[in-house]
Amino acid sequence: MKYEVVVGLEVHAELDTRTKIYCNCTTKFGAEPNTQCCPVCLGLPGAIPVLNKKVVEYAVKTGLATNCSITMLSKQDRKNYFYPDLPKAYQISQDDLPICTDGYLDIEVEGKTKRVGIHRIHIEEDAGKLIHSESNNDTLIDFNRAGVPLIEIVTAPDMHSSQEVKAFFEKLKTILEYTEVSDCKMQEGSLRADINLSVKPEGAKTLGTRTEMKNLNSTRAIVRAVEHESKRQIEQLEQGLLITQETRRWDDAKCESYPLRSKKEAHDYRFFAEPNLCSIIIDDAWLKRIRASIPELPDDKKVRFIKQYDLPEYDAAYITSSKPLADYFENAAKISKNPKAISNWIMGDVLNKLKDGGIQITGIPISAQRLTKLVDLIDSNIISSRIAKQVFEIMWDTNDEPDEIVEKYGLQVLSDSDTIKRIVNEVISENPKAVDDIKSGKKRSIGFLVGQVMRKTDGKADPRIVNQLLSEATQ
Amino acid sequence: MKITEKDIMDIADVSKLALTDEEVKSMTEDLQTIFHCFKKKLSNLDTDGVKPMEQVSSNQNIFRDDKCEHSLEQQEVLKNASVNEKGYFKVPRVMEGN
Repeated sequence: MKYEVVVGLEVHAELDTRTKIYCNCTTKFGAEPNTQCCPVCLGLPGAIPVLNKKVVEYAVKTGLATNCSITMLSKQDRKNYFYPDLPKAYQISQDDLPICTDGYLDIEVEGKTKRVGIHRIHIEEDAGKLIHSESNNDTLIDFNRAGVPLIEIVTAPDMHSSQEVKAFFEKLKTILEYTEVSDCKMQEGSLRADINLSVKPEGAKTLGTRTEMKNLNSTRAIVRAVEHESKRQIEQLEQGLLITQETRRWDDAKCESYPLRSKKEAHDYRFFAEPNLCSIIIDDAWLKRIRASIPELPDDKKVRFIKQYDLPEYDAAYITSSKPLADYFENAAKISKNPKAISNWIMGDVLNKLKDGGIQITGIPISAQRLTKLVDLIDSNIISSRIAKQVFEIMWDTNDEPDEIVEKYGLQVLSDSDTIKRIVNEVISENPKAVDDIKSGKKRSIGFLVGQVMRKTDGKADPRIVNQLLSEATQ
Repeated sequence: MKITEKDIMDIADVSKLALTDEEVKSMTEDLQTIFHCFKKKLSNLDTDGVKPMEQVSSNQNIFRDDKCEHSLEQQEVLKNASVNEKGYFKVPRVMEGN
C-alpha cells in the first residue's frame, strides 16, 4: 500500500531583543548561570511583569512577512504546568487571541511551488535550562533563559515529505533573519522545531494518529527525524499495529527516536487570562509603522536580482537565501560592470574559502569593493582569470588591494606579441613530436603546447595571443 | 454541571496535591455546592449588551522599552534555593513525563 506523510511544525524562535519579555534582564547568551535573573523572571512573589514593546513589534513583523492577519486586540494567558524549568509553575503565553493568524509561505520543491499554511504566531516566554546528571541523579537549573522572548509559529499540517519540511523551515529561517526578528543561531537554541507527524493510506480523508518530536535544533536533525519517523510509522501500520499518540525524543547522534514516558491523563494546561498583564491593541497607525520597517524579503530580492543583475535563477535563489550574502553581493554588484562575474566568484571561490575556514560571510576578509576591483582587472585584461585566483588567495590572506598585489608580484598579463612569439618558438622547437601530431590532424595536442607556454610565463601570457600564435606556427 | 470524584482527582493530580479518599469525597460535595450556587447567581444576571471581557485589567498597551538594567547577583538569586551547586539551583533529577 502507498502511504502519505503529513507533517506540521511548531517553530520556536528566540527574539533578538536586548532584554527579556517581562523584565529588564539581558538576553545575552553564554553568561555564568543565574546571573541574568531578577524577581520577575524568577517568579518571586509580588513581582509584576511588564511587556517589552519590541516583542509585540517583532511578532507583528513576522506575521506581516508571512502573510498573516494581525489581531487588533490580543491578550496573554497563563499556561499552567509543573516543571522545574518554570519558576512560576506557569508560562505566560497566548491562548485564544494570538497576535497573528492565518498566514502562509510559498515554498519550492523539485521545481513546483507549494503553499504551506501558518495557523498562528504567538508570543511567550522561554523556560530555564535544565542540566540532567545521570551519575548524581539530580538536575541543575539555570534561569538565565527564563523569560527570554519567543514567538511560536504553528503551521498547518501541509507538508508531505522531508524536502518540503526542509524547504519551509529554511525559508522561515531566512525571513526571520531578513526581518532581524531572531538571530536564528540554532547551535545556541535560538531556533527550534517540534515536528507533528502522521501517516495515512494515500488518498484517505482522515489523518492518522500523530506523534510529536520536540526541540529539534538543526535542519539536518529535522530532515532525519521526519524521514525516520515516517518510516517507523509506515512499518508499524504494515505490520498491522496501531500508532500510539505520544511525544518522542529524537536522538540525532544515534539517529533514532524513543517514546517519552507519558502520564495517563492528557496535559491540562488550565489556560486563563493573565491577570497581571493588560490587552494589546495594535491600531492601524502602529501597524503601518511596523510594516514600513520590513525590509525587502528574499522572494522579492531574488526576482529583482534576476532582473537587475541578470543572474540565473539558481544563483539568485542561493545568494538571497542569506541576507548578509545578498548584501555582500549587492555591494559589489552595484559598482561592478559585470555582476554575473561577481556572482560566479561568490558562488565559487568565496563560498569555498568561507566553508574551508569555517567563516561566516559577515567575517569575510575581502571587501565587496575589492572583489569588484579584482573582476575589473580580469575584464580589462590586466590579469588572466587563472592569475586572478592567485591574486584572490593573496587578497584573502593579506587584506591588500588587488592592483597592488598585481604590481608587487608582477602578475600582469603578458600581451607583448614579440615576447610571446619568442617563447612560442622555443616551445615549438622543444616539442617536435607534438607539432607533428598537430600537423597530422591531432588538434588536441595544441593544448599541450599552450600549457608549455604558460609554464614558461608563469601563467601570465595572454591565452588569446598564445593560441593564435601557436595555430599560425603549426599550420 | 455535575462535579465528579474523578474531576477532583484529576485537578488534584495536575496540581500535584495528594488527597485522601475522604478529602476527595468532601471536596466533590463542596465544589458541587459552590458551582450550583454560582450557576444560580449567574443565570439570574442580565448580560444582554455586555461585551466579552478579554482581560481582567481594563488598561491597554502598557509596555516597557527594550533597555537593560542590572539583574540580581548570583548569590542573591540562589538565596531561596534549598540546594545549589556551582551557581545552579539543584533539584532531584527530572525528565519530562516522569
